Amino acid sequence: MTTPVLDFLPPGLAALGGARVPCRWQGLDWERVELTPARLGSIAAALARHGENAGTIPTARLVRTLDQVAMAWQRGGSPYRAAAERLLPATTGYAPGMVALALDQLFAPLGGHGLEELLRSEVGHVRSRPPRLMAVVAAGTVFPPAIVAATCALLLRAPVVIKSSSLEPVLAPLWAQSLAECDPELARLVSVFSWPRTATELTSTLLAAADTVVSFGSDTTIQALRATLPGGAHLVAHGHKVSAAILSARALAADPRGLAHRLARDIALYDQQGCLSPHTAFVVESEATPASAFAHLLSEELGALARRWPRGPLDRPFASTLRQALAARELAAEPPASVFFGGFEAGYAVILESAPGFEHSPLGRTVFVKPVADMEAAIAALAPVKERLQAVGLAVAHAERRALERGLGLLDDVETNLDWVPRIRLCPIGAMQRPRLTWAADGHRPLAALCPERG
Amino acid sequence: MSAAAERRRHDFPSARPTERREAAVLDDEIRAFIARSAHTWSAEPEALDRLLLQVFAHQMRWNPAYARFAGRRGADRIGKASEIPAVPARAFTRVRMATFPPVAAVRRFRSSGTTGGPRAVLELDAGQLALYDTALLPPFARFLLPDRRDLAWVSLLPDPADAPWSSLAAMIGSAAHQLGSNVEHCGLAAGGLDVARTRAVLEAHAARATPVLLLGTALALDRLVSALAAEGAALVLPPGSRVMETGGFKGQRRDVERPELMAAITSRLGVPAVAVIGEYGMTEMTSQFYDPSFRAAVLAPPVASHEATGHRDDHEPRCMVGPPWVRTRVVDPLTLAEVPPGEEGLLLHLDPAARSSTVALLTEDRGRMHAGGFELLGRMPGAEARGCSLALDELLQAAANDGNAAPGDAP
Repeated sequence: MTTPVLDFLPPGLAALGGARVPCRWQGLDWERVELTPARLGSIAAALARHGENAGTIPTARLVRTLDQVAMAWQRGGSPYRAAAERLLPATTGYAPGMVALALDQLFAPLGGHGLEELLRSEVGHVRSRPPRLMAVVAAGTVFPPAIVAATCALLLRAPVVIKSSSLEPVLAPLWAQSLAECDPELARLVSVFSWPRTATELTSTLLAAADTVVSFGSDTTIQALRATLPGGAHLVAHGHKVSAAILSARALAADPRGLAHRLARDIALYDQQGCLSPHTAFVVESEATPASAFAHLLSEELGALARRWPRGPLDRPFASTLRQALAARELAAEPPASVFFGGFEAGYAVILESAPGFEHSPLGRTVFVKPVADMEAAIAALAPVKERLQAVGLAVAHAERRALERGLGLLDDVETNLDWVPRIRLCPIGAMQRPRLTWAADGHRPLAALCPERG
Repeated sequence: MSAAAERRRHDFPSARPTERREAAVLDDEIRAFIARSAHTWSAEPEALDRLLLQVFAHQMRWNPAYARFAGRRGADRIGKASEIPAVPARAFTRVRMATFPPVAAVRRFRSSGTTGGPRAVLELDAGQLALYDTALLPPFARFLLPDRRDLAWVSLLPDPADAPWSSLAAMIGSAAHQLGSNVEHCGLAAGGLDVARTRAVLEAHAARATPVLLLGTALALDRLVSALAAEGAALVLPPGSRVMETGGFKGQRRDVERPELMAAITSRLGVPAVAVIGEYGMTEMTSQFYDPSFRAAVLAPPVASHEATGHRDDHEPRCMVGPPWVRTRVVDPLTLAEVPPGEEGLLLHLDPAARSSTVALLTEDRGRMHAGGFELLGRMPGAEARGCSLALDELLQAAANDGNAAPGDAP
């Protein structure tokens, strides 16, 4: 590979971006286009024109191309995958082994089988025309959502501009390059850029050009974006969320070590920065399966992962916050009822606490383990945070899962709403960071949400 | 009684004569050390090290939570005060940091909770309250009253009797009591300031030409000068007047920008900038820190005319100094290793006067060490989200910001 680039312009539009200039970022040498609002506007207009001509691309070809791209990313020998494995640890701080696993987990559902399943699941729900131009405004270092959103745009034959996160501008350009290698014509629908949040003119230009905006970020970011969005543009917002886990006594009795191992992975992946990362694990206790024993196992597994996938470097504000939060919990622990495992230096923490209720983690691979008497108690603990709940990892029987669905009101309008989707993702422990492509994150169907009825 | 409360009761039996006796002996030693070092305004490092380790040993014996915490950090191998495991200030929001049983508590100080999180609580037994009184006076007198004591004290805080949870109100009340001064309290117990009363009190002192010691938080001072500005009013406090300003500039949105406040105090109250004396203290701490430049200016008046009018050299960092029995270290938040002078880090205070809580306190305040003290850089900003997980601090920040979107947060 030559010098890595922080953007992607499709074949034929390179001239619109102007000359590439070298830049230094995260201690590495890069190249990027010298983007101006005028250039971005021209590129967006050209992409939209490409989109007008994309309606004739057969679905089978879309699926075949995207399948080829996904397969290439999962095979050894892909220069794009190799570059991502080399660059992402440096930019995100994630351990190399974790990056490799995360890339596998990202691209596995983007293969032909997953794409076809998604298309089938959305039949009847996509009732309007696709976006004329879609913008994906990425945030943070958790890289899968932007790639998934762009893939959905392509399935709709909609042109898409990805505004990469300034914390992680690496993967999207590499993915777009791999797409261009497989199918230059389909790649004519994609552009990728990154710019700092202070470059508000570029953001405004993009928002003015797009008729659908998929945005990731904090409530504050989403609010600011909503205020900037021109009238008529459609916003699909993915705010910050939390996740939890519930383990039944029976499941724990059957395979305590395996569950601890899988839950530890769910916690450690993306250094717990994802909305699918669990904060609190509720353990339905029995005499044979005390929560304290599970907390101990979970601590061992997180400790092993901390050695295998060391937690990424912390910036000073986060280090200070995490150190304060962990030490406060450690000092408050009163064994045996509440026990603190790990710590700041250990690279993870498990906090066994008997006080009822969901606990927000200070992150940094910190998880609360809470004993509960039964499933009802776990449901009661989650009820106050259900609006902020993204996923619940489960090791429970089918009947208990149904009780949770009812308890969180997930089935309230299942019979009356033709477009019903569960607002909270329920999945097995160990699969929390591997959502299927059909997952309606935040209640948004992956394809239908991009094609609203427009006035 | 809950199981946890039962255990606490066991940990702290109501009658612990050994702990009481040990604390009394230690308090005498701490008081003697404070008296000696206040007299010369210096402390022999080895002697301070010994005292700090002695207090730490006492805390290890009588605070099981701290003993566990320090035990995990090799407490039995500690040979120097700099190795004492520091308790992060946030622990005071969650755990009772005290060596004495709850029944022995005579005072509970509570933080203001301006950062949106839970409030810190510091409990004091009678001996600790006496130590608090002992430790506050020498730096208070040294840095606020280096030249004269015939000042009219006006406090923008409530009367300590009405706000027993406020360590700042207690400090002002105690200092006044010990120095035989009367204080006119203009702060409201429910929060806020009686601006009309403050103005009337200050105008009366101005009319009598009595110099004033005005004591308040940056927020209260801002409220006062803003009210005066709104009416286009300005007072001219008599020469010799001074202002103790504290608690601002913590990196929170509602905080007051200090240069603007200084300018407003000068223009609305007639007090030169050099006579606005910064104070830095914490609910979780026993001793306090002050900006020494007023004392320096008063005792050795500079010749240059611009300095005589109180203008500060913008290139000179504003430093804080503590009393000689307090040792402040600036540490790296990642490693807790001391950073070289001039480099930014977190402030970690070692204070033997905090006999009943923690002798080593890790704050969330940023600072830089200089030859003349430490430069206070404000509260460590909240960590920026690096993913889509909702972090606890984000929730707290949202609560503190009252839901106002920040214009700078656009993507």
